[in-house]
Amino acid sequence: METPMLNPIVQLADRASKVAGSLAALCLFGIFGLILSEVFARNFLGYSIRFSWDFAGYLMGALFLLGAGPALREGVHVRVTALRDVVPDKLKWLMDVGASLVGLLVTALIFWAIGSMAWLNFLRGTTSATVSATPLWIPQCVMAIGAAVFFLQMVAQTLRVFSGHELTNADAEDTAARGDAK
Amino acid sequence: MSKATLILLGLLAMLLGMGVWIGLGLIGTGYGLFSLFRPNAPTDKLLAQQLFNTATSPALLALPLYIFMADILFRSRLSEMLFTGLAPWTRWLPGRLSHVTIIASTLFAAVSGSSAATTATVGKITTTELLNRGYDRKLVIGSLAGAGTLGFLIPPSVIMIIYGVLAEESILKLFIAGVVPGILLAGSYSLYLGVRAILDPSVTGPPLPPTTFREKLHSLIGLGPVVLLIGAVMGSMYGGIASPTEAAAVGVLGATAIGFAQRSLTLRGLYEAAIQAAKTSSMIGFIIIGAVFLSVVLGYLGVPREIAGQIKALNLSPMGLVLVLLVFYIILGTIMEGMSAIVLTLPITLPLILAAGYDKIWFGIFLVLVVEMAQITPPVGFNLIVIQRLTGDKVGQVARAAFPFFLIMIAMTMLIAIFPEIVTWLPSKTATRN
Repeated sequence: METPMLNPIVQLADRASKVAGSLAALCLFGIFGLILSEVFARNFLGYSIRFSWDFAGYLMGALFLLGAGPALREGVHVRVTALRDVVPDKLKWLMDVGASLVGLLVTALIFWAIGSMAWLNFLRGTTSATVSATPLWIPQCVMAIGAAVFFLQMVAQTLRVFSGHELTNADAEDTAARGDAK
Repeated sequence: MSKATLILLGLLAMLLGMGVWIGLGLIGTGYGLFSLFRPNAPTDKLLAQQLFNTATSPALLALPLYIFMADILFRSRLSEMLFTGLAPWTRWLPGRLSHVTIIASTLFAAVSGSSAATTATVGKITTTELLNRGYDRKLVIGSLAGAGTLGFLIPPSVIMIIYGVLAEESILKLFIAGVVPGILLAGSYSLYLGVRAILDPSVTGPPLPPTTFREKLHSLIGLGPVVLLIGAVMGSMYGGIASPTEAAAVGVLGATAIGFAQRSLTLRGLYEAAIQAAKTSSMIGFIIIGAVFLSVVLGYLGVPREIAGQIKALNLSPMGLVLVLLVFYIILGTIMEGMSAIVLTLPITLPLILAAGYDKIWFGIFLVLVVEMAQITPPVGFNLIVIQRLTGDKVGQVARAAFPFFLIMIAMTMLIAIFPEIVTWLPSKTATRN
């Protein structure tokens, strides 16, 4: 996938995925910082940071969703490739088409589900039931943005498949060797 | 079989077989089933709620942190230090330096939660060193494949975190329960290497001159950072200062400190490790989200109860049930990556095994062993792929080399089935403190 793609949608998706990946990394640093502060505060200062677990949880939600697009782009999401590896190339391509269409549908559902939940919670002003009383739409909105990037990257993957490429697969280079397996 | 169960199996087989990303395939199957059987229910609300609750669940927070820690350690010079630190101590054993792979994996597993990370980090150095010294290729690769899987059994363990969350069991107790079986398994691997070396001395490299006690002591300095890190992670957890999640944060701090002290880690490297860890966490996160959503849907439709009823009707003895599950998981593990396999089947198998009188913690360790086997069975085995990238051997060759170690794992699983105390003894001793 290193070859330059002229398709503007693919370009946009890749750029969005890169930004989302950086944001996901920041979320990870945030989780690390919050949990570590809690350990130190409790053991050395004798008090507990009440919101640390809540916020770390929200950051993890953001991390999972924001990380999904870039992970898809680089083939990190695992797939069952056992069947795919033994069928002829034509059928393999058809399976990739099928997989990416299902992927489009499911990522769209995910975006729709989180997006409408965030919107509803924004309208209602729902806050979390924990001490931090965080307005729920804030973390959910970030998750919805991640889901949007995920969907966009799925569109890009589908376009790649339709232009004759294979879906990015973490172990694509191993498929040749798999013929020897077992 | 009811219509719901048939459609479930058909849909799952179709989506996953076609190569749909596993997390998305599980969500799609759940969504399809629920919309079909409960057409008037708000499926999108159920999905949103399950997704939000799972993705933000504090119980899962240890997962991204341990993955992050492993990604940082992979960029450090820890494996060189393990090799130079351990090599002088194993020269006198039958099998000589081949044991370094086992011991280094055991030690690294005590700071790493994943077996792919253990295999990659330990194998980076040991394979080249041992192969250059004339050790038998099959033995070197096979022992790395086997020992690398210890990453899951010896705490901390990503699989145990996931199981703990899904089965609602204490992650700390699961961690403690993995210690004895992990050390037993590592010991069995070493025993096998020793026996092989006695039967056929040509599999090991030439003997090295014995080291003096001084040299041995000096070599220990290299082990210092690993031992300190193990002490920080395990000590803070078992000493009651930190929960498993907090210990993970301490571990990330320690790994970063080691990396910077060795000058093998830069800020840029740390950032890259975070991006890599974020992607891996997201992949695993989506599989968990999919599994939780699907099992909630199945629960509504009564599918687990139905399948469990049918298996119960077979009237298997508890041991018979364990054997059936073992065979089932080995087969599933050949075509699927192990973690997905257990996450997918847990809503059905856990109630069955509890009804048969087994302990939740015991089943967790059983599943960890099963996942370990899945890691080294072709065509889909993460450890095989990691080793293929490391040494260039074909997946099939790696799998053949790992086969004796696969058999040892089966023997180990049978052993804990016959003597469940191997698993339950240590957590029962320490449970009161928790």
